[in-house]
Amino acid sequence: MTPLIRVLCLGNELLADDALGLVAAEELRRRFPHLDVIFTTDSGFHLLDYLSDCTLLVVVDSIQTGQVPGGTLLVFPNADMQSPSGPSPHYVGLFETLQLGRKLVLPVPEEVIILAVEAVDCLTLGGEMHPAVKSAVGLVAELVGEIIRCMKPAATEQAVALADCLHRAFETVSARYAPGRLVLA
Amino acid sequence: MPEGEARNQGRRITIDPITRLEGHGKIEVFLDPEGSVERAFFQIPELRGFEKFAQGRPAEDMPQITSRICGVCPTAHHMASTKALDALYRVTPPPAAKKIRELFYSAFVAEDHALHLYFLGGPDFIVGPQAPAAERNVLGVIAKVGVEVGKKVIGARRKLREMMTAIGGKAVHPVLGLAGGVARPIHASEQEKIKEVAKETVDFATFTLETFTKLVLQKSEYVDLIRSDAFTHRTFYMGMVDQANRVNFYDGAVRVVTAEGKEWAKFAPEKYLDYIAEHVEPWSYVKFAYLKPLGWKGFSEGPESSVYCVAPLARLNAAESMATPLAQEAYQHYLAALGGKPVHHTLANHWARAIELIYAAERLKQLADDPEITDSVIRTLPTEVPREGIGVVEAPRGTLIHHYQTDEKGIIQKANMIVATQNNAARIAMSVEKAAKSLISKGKVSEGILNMVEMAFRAYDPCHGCATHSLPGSMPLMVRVHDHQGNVQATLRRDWDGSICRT
Repeated sequence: MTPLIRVLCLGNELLADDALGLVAAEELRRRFPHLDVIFTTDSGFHLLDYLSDCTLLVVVDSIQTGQVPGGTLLVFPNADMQSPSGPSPHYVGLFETLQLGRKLVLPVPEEVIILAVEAVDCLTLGGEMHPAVKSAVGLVAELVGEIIRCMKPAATEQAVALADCLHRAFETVSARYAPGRLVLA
Repeated sequence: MPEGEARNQGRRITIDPITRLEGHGKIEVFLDPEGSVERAFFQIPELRGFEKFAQGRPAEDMPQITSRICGVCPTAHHMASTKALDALYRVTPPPAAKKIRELFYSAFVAEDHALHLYFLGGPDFIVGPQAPAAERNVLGVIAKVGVEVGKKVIGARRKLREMMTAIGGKAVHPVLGLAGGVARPIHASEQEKIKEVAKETVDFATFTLETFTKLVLQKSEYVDLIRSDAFTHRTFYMGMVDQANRVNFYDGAVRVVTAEGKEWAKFAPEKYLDYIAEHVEPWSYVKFAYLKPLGWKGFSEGPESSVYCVAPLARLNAAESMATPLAQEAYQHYLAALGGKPVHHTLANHWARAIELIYAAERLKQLADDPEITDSVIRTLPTEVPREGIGVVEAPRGTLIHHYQTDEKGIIQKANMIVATQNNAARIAMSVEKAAKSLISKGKVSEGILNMVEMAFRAYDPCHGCATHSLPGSMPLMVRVHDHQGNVQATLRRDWDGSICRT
């Protein structure tokens, strides 16, 4: 069955690199006018409001691992991982929200992929996006495009599993960029 | 920022200040030659640039813009900003507008407190601080309270959100507050539904306190933990109160009581600069608020301290009573159980939060039942030339201040914002140091230190911006222990699966 794909872009346009989600949403809507794309500044458990009526959720967000250069696109193929009990309710994230939704038998997508761009600065109010982070928007859009193409085959083609799709999409897009620009987490 | 220095007993301690690249909070612990904790320094990235960001903007845009600063408490910023506009234009909103604002705000606080209690503070108490890390999260809470209760929480939240969306256009970034009023009235046809949601919220709030009582307060080991010295500080307490010194989230005077519970100050919001100043330590970006007339006296407590704190525990200390009957009953029981006012136990914030949830729900119902809430006069148009305005509300996490100075066209020239967490920053630092001292001795670093620090953190629920939004959402804390020669002896960090990584 053709999956119902939603791209959920998270971000805060006031906070420098955290505007990535907004810019990515605009680019995705421009390239794929019929794609279900949402941008929200909501965080934590409020994300429950955006999880119903889709079977595949692609989340786009910034991340700060401190382990890769700014602008690196990290791809998390399985968003079902345990999340740590965060030190503060402000930091409850997507993972716990998904887990809560599943536990409470709320409508939550079966499959979730996360595309996270390593940010340089998410703390300066009114700050500009770092050029490397900004340039990753195109990368995100290309990867989403490849995933959609693979997941929604023409009537004569066989459906492909998400894991295979993601792998193919990752390989295809990675080949166009310098090594390390995309990382499969 | 260059390396920071601190001095302790004549010895120079060098601390790496947290960099922007680090998405985590950092605790640097320095041991003395005997292996006990000499000092612990807590750093966490926080938002910067508010003044520069605000300059040149029309003040009237600020309620919409500032609601985007924080993804968790946007309504608090929206409301503080709106009240700053009232003061800026020296305009008094009509009674219906004030009531609509307070109704909306009460719904926001109720929703926020409910989520925090069950899913965020819950892991510490409902699951238990000794439970494995993998269970001390929202799933562990659901396992304890049951799926039906979990659904009840989500259901209560959804109803409040829908009501807020109907009133404010959007629940998250409401188009509600204007200088001198609100954007639209509540129609008589909407009132019944609002009353119904309010009543259900009161039922839910009382159910919540019963659940908390059964699962936490009736267990002696949890009550002992609440009362334990490791999480106890005797500081000043600050909160907003009405004319009868009862807790009010939306409006009133700011009251400060001493560690003995005596009123030390009660001031109108526009006087905040006479009472609150900010101290900067050389090793941190964080600004530590303190009581200005007393001067900065360091991270200390007791009679020689100028440290204060905010949020539920502080509000219930700063007030003399609660303004609604069920909340007042719960308040009296809480004080009796914890030995009277003021309550100094940081972990009692969760209990205080449950009481405030009842108040927020009852206040929501009072306003929903008020015939004036559907009055059509909802705005007093500003006519004065703007100059300066200060707006203060009680965000769920504590006192929030917005301050704007504008030119005659209402364009911001200077701006300041004090978020709840700045008010708590000194006490949080003290809690972290106290936790470090109780869990590290003779050079042995217990992994329980991360749990202890996180538990204190959750009680305060600081609103630092760093990972409010960015993945993974859960911001890790790193504890780094230095021996007395400054060499790193151990580093502890929580991994994504909840386990502690130690190097």
